[in-house]
Amino acid sequence: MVYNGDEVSAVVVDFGSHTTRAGWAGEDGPRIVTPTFYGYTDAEASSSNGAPADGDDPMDGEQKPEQEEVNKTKKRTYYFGDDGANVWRANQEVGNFMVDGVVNDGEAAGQMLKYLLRERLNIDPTEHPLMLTEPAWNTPAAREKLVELAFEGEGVPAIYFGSSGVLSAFAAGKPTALVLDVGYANASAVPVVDGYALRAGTMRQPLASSLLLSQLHNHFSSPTATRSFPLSLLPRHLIAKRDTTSEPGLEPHPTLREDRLSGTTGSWRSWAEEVVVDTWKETCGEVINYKGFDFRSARDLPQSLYEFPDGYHQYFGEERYRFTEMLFDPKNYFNQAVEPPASLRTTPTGDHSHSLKDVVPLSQLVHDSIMACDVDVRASLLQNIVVVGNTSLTRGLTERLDLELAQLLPSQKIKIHSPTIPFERKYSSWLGGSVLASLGTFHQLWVTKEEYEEHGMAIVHQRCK
Amino acid sequence: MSSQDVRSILNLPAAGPSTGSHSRKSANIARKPDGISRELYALIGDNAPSLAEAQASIAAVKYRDRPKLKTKKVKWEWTDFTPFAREGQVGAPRLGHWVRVTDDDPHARVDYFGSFNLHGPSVMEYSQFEYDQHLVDPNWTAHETSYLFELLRQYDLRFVVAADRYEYPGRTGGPIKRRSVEEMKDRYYTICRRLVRTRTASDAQVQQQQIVQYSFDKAREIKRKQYASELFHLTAAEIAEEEALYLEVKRLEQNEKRYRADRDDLMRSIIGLDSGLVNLTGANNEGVHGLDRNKKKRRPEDEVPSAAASPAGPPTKKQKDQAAFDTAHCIYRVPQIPVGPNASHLATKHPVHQPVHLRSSKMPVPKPNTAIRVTELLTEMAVSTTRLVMPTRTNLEAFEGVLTAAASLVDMKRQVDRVEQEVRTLRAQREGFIPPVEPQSRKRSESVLSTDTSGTGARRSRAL
Repeated sequence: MVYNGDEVSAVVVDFGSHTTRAGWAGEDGPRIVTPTFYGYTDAEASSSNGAPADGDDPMDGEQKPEQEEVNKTKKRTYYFGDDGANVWRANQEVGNFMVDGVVNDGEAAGQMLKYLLRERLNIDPTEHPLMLTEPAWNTPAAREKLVELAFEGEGVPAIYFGSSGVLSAFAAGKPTALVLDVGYANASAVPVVDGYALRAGTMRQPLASSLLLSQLHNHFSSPTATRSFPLSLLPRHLIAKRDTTSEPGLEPHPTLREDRLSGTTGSWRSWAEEVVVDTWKETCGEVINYKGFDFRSARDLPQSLYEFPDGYHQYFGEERYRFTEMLFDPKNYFNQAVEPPASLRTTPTGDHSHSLKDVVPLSQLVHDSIMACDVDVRASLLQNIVVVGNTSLTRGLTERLDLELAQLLPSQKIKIHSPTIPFERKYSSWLGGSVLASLGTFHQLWVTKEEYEEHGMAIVHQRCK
Repeated sequence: MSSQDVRSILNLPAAGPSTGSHSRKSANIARKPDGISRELYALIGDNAPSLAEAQASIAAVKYRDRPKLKTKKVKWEWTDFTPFAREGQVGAPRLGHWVRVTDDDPHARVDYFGSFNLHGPSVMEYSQFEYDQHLVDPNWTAHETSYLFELLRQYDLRFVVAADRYEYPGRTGGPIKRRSVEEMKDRYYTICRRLVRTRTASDAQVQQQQIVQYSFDKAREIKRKQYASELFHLTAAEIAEEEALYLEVKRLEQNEKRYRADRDDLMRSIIGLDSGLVNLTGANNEGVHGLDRNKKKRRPEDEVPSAAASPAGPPTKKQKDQAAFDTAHCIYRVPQIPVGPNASHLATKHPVHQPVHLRSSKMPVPKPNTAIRVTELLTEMAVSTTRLVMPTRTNLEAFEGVLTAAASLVDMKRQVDRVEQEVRTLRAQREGFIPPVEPQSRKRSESVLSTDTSGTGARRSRAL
């Protein structure tokens, strides 16, 4: 009992906008990391609503889809995991049940939860307490939906909601911290004081990976000054043989899988293209860490060779830096004319959030968040800035953030702490949940099924504050 | 390679009837001697050299023991439990964990975690009667006050967090009302103070202490936070300016000090008076500490005159007799050396012992910094500085007076020279129609302290 742990074999599930993590509390990494994107096919899609549904609002009120394995007579079939959307199927649509970091589609989330617990972890959910993570701006409706899914759908004995900002701070070993989470759908700054997330300083905006990818997608799929043709951005699923003969920078002519072209839906195609762009971004994208980007000096930046699945390859230079610059200078580098993903438009303009129209630099977001807090806690927040999220792994991002913050607050001592191990940054909120749910002193906080049946949602709101 | 293989290579006859490991085992050869490891013994074979055996026993290499299979088994059991704080509650979680089966109380671990359930600082409680009597505030309703106390209890008096969660819906559920940290603190601490004051306390001092503990000045706190938050909005230029100003102030202070020292010097040598300038820098720099130090320094000085004055005051009979005796026998008592301010406390009890000496050996010497000039002066006037023909007390005093006069004369001469030089410089400047380089006050202070070349140097550079 050196570390005061007490394993009760709790399960921690962390729903993210891009990936969902699940695993045992007390372990140092999630057992399962699966995309939150899922594939689904509607058996009578054409007869029930005509046009194929768009990937972002796949749910229709009167449809009662169920998983194929359970009942084959129902219309909708879900495919989760790495062989979910990632496998080409005829007429397969791709959906995502997270919007603005909040679980939006209870039906699909329930299917996902069932898939994680029963198929991947292979457990009987009635025997294991379940810890779920939620963003600081989670809505009561979304919370209620998840509670219903857990208690009524899966029959878990007990549940707890951890605020992901607080959990990330715990994973970094800090009770007081400012957590900057740059993820897929959102970049959020959450001040945590003594283990409580302060609502006043919680800020978020849709300036993160998803928006970056849509800008990059637009750049690649339209001709530019140095490239006279648009890139096809074809995923490998649709290519039979890539073009190996072409020189760098020339248009490739791969052999396509003609048989699949007709069965490919719009939502799957856009998802697959985004994956292609995302891979490019992960490989090549960097942030200039000592000064801002400008086109004059951009030619001197280091280049790297990258090949797309269709065989197009090129030395990429300034594009590696120009788009990520958006995170720190959206005024100049965020092209409002490019159609942003529909799911990002739901973020409203308010005291605690910026809509697509008025996104601010990441450093400004941190600054605003800290300035919204009480004067007495600002100094300790500034010295404990925890940067997490997959997009924060973009090279040079933390160094640049440090630089920009020092310019914004020259009189203050600023210390950025960000885990060096990539998975600790990507899955920080899962890790915090794992730490919390394995502590012997935590177990008195579980909300049990009996309590929920007696008091309803009130007990959840009261316990998970 | 076993010894058998060696034998076959060397064409030696097999040793003994045992062939092969199997048969050797069955033959039950001599037991392995103690102190030699079985791995090594297996290599050596049956014709073990005695030397190796002896060495092995010396080195006594210990290999890991074979696992003992007959020890008691450790049993772990999946046991249900209820967290300590929730025991006996309706709907308490039934959780399970692995517990090692021992003779100890299996419940100990649950109790152990229960011991961490410490609550933070306790929040004051009040009764309805007390509220009606003392705690009524026009800005707060009783309902809101109890809401505030409930929130503070929930967050263990973390005012920052409580203020963040403060959403008072009103008794009837109107618009949500929010309060600032200061308002909450003000209300809470006011109530605490009033409660402590009205409740009868066993110890008045403790009561007073508590009231002081709960003191809270809202206006001051708001002002403090305002100042503190202004610090966050400083720009880099402002910080640089602040730093430069600070350096400038330091520089000015130093100049002032130097100027004052010079002027003091001058006044003392001319009129023999202190300049009378207020010690500005000392008061500014040292603040409270400086005052303390002054007080400490002054105390022994105060004591010395009083001690000296007391015998001079109403002399006791004994002292009177002593004085008469002294004058009759030409005895002069050397006044005690006053104890220095930083001498140890022992010095007051045991005055410094002065051994017997001849007066001629204690001739006063001129101050070292003016010694040469003074000696020159005295030699000019044919006065020996090293020898007195008749070193009586009065003579020595007179001689000391001469030395002092000579020293001040030398000093005066030096000052006069300097001032004259300055006058010359200024005159030269005026003749050359060169305006003073800097404002008058600065000019003077610099010319007093620096050598004369600075003025001319500046003029030269201007002229070029």
